[in-house]
Amino acid sequence: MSQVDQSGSDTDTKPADDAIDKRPLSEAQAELAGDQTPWLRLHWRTLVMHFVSEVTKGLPVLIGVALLGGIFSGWTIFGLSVTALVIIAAILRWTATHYRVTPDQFQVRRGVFNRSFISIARDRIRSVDMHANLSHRVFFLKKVAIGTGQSDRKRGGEIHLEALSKRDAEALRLSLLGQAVLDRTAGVELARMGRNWWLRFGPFTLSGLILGLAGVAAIAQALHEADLGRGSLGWLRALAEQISNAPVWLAVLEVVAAALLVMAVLSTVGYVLLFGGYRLSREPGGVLHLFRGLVSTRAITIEEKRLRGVEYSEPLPLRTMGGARLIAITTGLRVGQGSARGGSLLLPPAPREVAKEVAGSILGDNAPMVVPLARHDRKARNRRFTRAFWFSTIVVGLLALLWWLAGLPALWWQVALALYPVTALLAADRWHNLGHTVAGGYLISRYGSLVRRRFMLTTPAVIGWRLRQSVFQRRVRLVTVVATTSGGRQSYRIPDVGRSEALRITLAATPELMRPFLEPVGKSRKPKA
Amino acid sequence: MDVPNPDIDEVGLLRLREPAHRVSRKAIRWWSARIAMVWTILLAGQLVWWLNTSSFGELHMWFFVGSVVLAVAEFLIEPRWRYRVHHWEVTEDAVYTKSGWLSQEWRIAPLSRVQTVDSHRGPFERMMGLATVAVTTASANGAIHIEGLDQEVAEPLVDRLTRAARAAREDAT
Repeated sequence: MSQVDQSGSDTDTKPADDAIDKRPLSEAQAELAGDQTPWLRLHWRTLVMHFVSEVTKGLPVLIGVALLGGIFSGWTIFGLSVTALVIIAAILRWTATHYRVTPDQFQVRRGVFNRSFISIARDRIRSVDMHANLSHRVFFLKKVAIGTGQSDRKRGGEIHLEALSKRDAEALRLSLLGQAVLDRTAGVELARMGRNWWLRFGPFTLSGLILGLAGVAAIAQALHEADLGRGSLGWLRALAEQISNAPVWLAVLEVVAAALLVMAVLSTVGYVLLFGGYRLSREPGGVLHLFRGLVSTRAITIEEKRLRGVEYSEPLPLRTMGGARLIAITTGLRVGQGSARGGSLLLPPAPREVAKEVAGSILGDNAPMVVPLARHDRKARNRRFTRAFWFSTIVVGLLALLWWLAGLPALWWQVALALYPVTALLAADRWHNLGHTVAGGYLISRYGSLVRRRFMLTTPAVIGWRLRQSVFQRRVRLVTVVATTSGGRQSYRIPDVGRSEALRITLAATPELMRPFLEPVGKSRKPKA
Repeated sequence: MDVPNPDIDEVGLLRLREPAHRVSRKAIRWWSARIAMVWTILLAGQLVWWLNTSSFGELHMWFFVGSVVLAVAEFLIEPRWRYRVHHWEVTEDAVYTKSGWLSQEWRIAPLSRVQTVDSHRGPFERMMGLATVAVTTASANGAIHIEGLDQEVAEPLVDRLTRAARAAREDAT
């Protein structure tokens, strides 16, 4: 039996604006008077945390100022008073913030000067995420984000509480999500971090690389502020000199090798930080629980009745290592950049076999993941190669034109000639990867090369079709089929299928919707009204 | 091919039939006006650029001449071509449209999944008594626009769509 919602009800994804009610406190006063549920505060250690983090932030500046101008200079006093003001503001904010869980609402009131009242109907709450960054961890605190799952289109479907003790946070989570308990041993475990995954896939993970780069930037910033940079940058300069004196091929080789090495190390560090301690489990009550992250932990809850399918995605570097990741197609969770920051990542880069198995157990059916796909029309192959050819030709042509007209070095367009074999290889891979089918209640398509995706979308979740033909597609009678849906990327496409095949797909997936608009070839057209 | 569904194997080769209705003939003028406006701005920009730079003079001129030819061709061809392509239909269960000219697109959405229905009229449309009816679904990429409808057609259509969507929704729950 499939675990994915087959009823396809989308009545719960109405526009977001009414999910979170936010208004001035004075307006809500009357409504609040009737309810006796006691208000709760944020944890007192939050104050200490703010104090410490503000002071540490201000400290380097203060020291610098003191060294320059003496301890009692006007600047020191200015800096101290700014820090003091920030701390006072934090204290005021803390004293003004209260929250409570009433039988049918989650309510927050806050704000010092503009006092506001926020309420969310409890049945609209879709996720309770807990984050803990380094300073939270030091003070055993958790930042809690309560989401209504209405962040598909824009941010803002979330309320943050900064910060609660671990116990309070978990109590809150428990009371808001019912029996969906945060327990790292409860439920049926679907997957957990493998022992050697970080070594095998870490170096090939883009979201890890992004985090790693951010870390380096932060360290560089810190060094710069502490003014330690000048001395330690000497070796960099020496290196740069050595490279500029070396022959060109050696210099290129050195730079590329160094860049690859640094990238690999950074992405591995990022991978470990983001996905360390990963665990995915199925809880009673139809909820998937995901836990991941070493320094900043994330606990994500996905209701299975909102799950519309799974995307199996293999970025090229990962694919060469035999790895893949899984992304949820679900209403209410964004597919974010790198998909690591959005909550929709179901499985971090992991061995292909594990990914397939986990996809199968999430969907409750192995078939969508293993069913063979129908190949596309051979005209689709020609199109892959034609596009590769024209892309290379245009780039080379433009560079050659610039060389001819504006004196750009000839080396540019000569190097660009390498595009022909490279794009041809990509085209071959893209053709090889194209495939689609409708089977077992799922619409399945696979495409792409640099990132190969196979999405499996349950057919009742298809809430419309777009059949597109560009000028070039019209010439060779190919169609791009786009299924629109309320979850994940909002639409999923099957590129370049033959016209008749395109219609077979739509008919197989949504027979009732499509039948009235289809006619067998040969029948005369209806006269136009 | 091997899509395992008896539904389609018995159907054989298929064709999407044209949606039943054409848009208003006045839409040709509306599209023409839009194209004229865009090209006027582009050509004026080019002219200013050409007259204010001394180098590349001849190249600029040919570029400008080429643009004028393109503009005239598009102005003459696109609106009529669009008029032949653009079709729409609303059945008991679905909205179905075809649009485009060089590139074309068919869109289909079931009324049971429709969330909002509205009509809007830009300044040109207002001058010519036209309206665009927009239908959105729960998918951010699923909206359907029926452009260039006569005002007299659009108003009852919005009513009908709104009612149909509401009825379907109640049935569904």
